[in-house]
Amino acid sequence: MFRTVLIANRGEIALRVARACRELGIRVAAVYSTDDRDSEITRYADQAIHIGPGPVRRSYLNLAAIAEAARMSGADAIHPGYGLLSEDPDLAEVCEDLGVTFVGPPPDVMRRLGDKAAARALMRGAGLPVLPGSDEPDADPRRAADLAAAVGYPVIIKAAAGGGGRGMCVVRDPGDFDRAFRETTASAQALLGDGRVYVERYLESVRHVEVQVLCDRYGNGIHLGERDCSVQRRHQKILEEAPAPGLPRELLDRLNRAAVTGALAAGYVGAGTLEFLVDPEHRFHFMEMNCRIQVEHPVTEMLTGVDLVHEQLRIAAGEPLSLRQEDVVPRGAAIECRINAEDPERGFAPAPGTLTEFDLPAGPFVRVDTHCRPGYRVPPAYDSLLAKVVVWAPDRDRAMARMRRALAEFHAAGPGVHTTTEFLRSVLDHPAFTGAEHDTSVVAGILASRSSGHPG
Amino acid sequence: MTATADIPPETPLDHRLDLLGRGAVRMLAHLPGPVRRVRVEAGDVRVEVEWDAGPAARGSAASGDPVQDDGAQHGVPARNGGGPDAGPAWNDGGPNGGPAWNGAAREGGGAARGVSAAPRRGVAPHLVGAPSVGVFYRAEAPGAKSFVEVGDNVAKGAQLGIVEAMKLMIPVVADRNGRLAEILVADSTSVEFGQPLFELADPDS
Repeated sequence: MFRTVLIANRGEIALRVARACRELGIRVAAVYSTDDRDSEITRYADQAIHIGPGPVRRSYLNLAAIAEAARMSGADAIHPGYGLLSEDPDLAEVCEDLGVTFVGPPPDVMRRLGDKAAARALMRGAGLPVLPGSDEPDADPRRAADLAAAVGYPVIIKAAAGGGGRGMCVVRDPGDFDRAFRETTASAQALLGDGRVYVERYLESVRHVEVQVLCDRYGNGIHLGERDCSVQRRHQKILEEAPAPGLPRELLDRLNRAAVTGALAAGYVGAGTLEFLVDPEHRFHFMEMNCRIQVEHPVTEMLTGVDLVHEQLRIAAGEPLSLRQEDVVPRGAAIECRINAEDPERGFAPAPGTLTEFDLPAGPFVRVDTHCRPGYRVPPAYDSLLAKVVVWAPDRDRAMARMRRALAEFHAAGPGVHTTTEFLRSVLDHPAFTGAEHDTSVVAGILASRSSGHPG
Repeated sequence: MTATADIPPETPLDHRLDLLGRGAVRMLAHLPGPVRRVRVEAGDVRVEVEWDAGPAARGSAASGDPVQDDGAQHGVPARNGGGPDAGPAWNDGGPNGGPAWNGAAREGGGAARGVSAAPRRGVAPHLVGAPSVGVFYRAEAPGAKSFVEVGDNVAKGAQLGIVEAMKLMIPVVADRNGRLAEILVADSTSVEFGQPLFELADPDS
């Protein structure tokens, strides 16, 4: 096992990884920016290294600074968390050069899966169902428009390098295609530094179901079941749960098995997630694969009892998988709510400030992952996630009741601070959600009914 | 008397304390009378020294308030003492025998507490910090002549050193005219972003 792990991240995930390291007897080295100098991880870590000023480009996204911090701390591994540099093949390559283990897949695998068009082609080759669309990004608007017509409207134009809901555009009318294509290309170039886009059939009324997989270096792979992430606002997940409710178990079992097949075909190593869409006819379609630990990983941990960060570290250290597929026995139901410092009344605009009051829920089967504390000043420059509240119960109804109770106990306030807590409670009370009849449009429906004054 | 040191806001607390400690020690060397009390703060940077002002002031203005060290340590993260290279030892004032936290309050004699907003010349250090995390070098190449030596007068914009980060050579540049009072970090040492490297005093006139 590693002696020292450098955590190249911030916020709640940095603490989450640090805790796993502590449990495994690994020394923790943290990095921090000027804006994060009072953050919890700087206290928690055995060593904390100041890597640059507040803007992420000059600190958390600065490869040279991260590499120097790894060298200074004597780290033998880097854990990238999620977001930031977690899916940057360059970091994985720099690690190879430094002789430091990158906790994640090999750089070439990450590069291939990071290009969504290449990932689609790879998964289709592995026999997974993939939505009709481009096999490779195409910069020619005319050819792309012909493809869109062949695929059938509506279509979605997606940035090849996109993620986290950035760089996508749904087109319902062929007359709008040309303009949308040019706009998406331009914004992908500006936002992601890569203007390549591809076209895919856009499905309405779908469920977003993803599968957690673990693969070791020796060609072994298992899944830890699925998570349903259909509660989204503008492709941003708000609430995640497992198992996926209201879908046939047989379908989900097939989907889970397909995920392992796809991950092994890609040569994947580590913890990864394959995202699928499930259409109203209960057919599933591969969308993309994420090469990192995900925000919503606690849902799976609650259901299976497997600590995914421990597993990531063990796999990275070269150990074979400690679990066989039959050792993974999901029990009960788990729900996670992401509580953000955002104001739902103002279009979910970030509403950071100082948390003069910060009370967390507790009690049986409630887990809260957070880096905040009373008096903490939420930096405006970073992610607005304040806390993840996760509950477990023997079944979904009781998990929802427990989550309502936990959210009622959650209290964060301060000058300028708004949170999404109340909004999450309205999701948990929405009949389509409680009846497991919802799809990815559920949040838009709730917001529309709110603004029109009708109870949702 | 007090001095407000010119320490960049991004300077980590441990460096601030170290610098303040040095500042306090330097002030002690210039005192007109024996020291009674030293107070160092890092939150908004403060060094306070009390001394015996001699017979004229004796008996007046005895402050008598207890010596506290919480000003100095307030806000310092409770560190986790993890291993030999887990950062500075918090309370020993570092290698320069830093501040005496519980300033030796001497028996007898009144205290004159001079509070002047104008810092003494040479007491308020101007610090030049590391432009990046990396390795600090004093010269262009091994064996080459150092860019600067203590005592040199440097002009604003002059190169004082290099911080190397992943084979990138990032120059450390003076952001004002001054006389190089102290080089705070040894050659070939790993430094963090913003860590003070040089102290500039007012230029020799």
